Amino acid sequence: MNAGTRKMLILDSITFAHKARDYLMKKGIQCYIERIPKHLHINGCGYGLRVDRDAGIIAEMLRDAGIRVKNIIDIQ
Amino acid sequence: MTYLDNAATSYPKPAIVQKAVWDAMTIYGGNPGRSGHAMAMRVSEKIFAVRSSAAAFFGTELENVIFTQNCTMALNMAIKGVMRQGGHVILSCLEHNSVIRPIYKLHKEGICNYSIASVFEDNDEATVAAFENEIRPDTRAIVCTHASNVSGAVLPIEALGQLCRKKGLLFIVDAAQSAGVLPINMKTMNIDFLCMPGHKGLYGITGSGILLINSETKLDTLLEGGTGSLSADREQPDFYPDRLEAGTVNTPGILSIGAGLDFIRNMGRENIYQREFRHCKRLYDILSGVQGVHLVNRNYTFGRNAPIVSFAFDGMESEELTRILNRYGFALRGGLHCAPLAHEHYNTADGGLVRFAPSVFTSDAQVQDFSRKVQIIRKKPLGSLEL
Repeated sequence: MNAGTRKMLILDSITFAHKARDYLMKKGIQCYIERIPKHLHINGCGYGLRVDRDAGIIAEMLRDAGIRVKNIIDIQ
Repeated sequence: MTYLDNAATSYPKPAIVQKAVWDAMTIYGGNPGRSGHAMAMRVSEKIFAVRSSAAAFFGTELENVIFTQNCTMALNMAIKGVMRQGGHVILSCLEHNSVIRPIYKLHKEGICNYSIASVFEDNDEATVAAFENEIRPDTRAIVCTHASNVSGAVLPIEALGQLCRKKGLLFIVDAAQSAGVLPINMKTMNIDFLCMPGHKGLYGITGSGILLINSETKLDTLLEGGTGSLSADREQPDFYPDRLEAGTVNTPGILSIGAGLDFIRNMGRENIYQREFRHCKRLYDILSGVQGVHLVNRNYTFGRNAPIVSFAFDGMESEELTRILNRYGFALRGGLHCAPLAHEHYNTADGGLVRFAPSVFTSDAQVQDFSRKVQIIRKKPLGSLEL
């Protein structure tokens, strides 16, 4: 974990952001749906899931649950 | 006015549905899935909750719940999305125009061919065999109604789903008269595409519908446009629901469906069906003994009929009878019900049928009053009934 570095998981759509959020919350993992910052847009606008720790592990968990994570980006 | 036209659209709507629509206009403004402000995020959350609720209710994944304007739009999306590639499709002899017209258009354009399979209402095996006999090497799909909107006759969906799996066909089901009333599970029934209105048995408002998908087949699109995702791409996203939900969705309609599903869960789907069936059975039994009344169903059986009883008076157009019933304070639909194929099957294309379709809000007293009035009208000389 990199203290002070927040990450955003980029998902296909707002629907998948909600689905991923619900899945992680059931596992006790805090996360927040946010609009992807404009300067970080990949292929246009969209929504991502902000996590405060272990982004790589969380992305793997989501992939294992059948939720595609397109990218992980630093948001600060 | 006693409203008995719930097969066209349900009325009244439950109080929680009315509240959901009000909330959509007063609390859940903003465009879901487009902006990042708090109001837009709140409504996105609500839309997601309804998607999850519908997915759980009908047995599919939440991202495969596509909100549409109505059942017709859902059927067009499924039929054209599958059949635009060509091939052959089989439909039943009880289909609504929302099935036959899109297929006929594709056929006229030289894109696909179709066959019509007979339905044997008292013999499911014969019905399934009729479909199986129509299968050709190029058959891609079976499209059929779960329950006829003319007679309420229930088709053997589970067995037809098994046939589709066995033969490698896609299965598209029109649940216009069954969603919210009869048991439906897409996974156990092997349904690939399930189409329904939001405003009938789900108690939502008009202008709402759902297409549910339980298939790896990617549907071709009817509409393309903004989805709030992959905005820099000229191509429509390949993932659901965005692929099939171009443009702003109908928030009041979707929230009304969500509240309608909550209402059904609270009441119990089976309790709703039992109540509506009881009303229909009662009317069916009474009218069976009235001379000069022609009932379209030979039997009326629990589980084999959706809550619809259609009938006609000998020597009178059904539209004329509904006008008379309207004068007596009863709202029912007459005519062909947009299902000329079914009327050919029942031999009722000339005068059409009057369709009695109660809802969970219909009372025993209203059914009693209606059956009494029908008998009174029947006893009057036809010439004395002119409006």
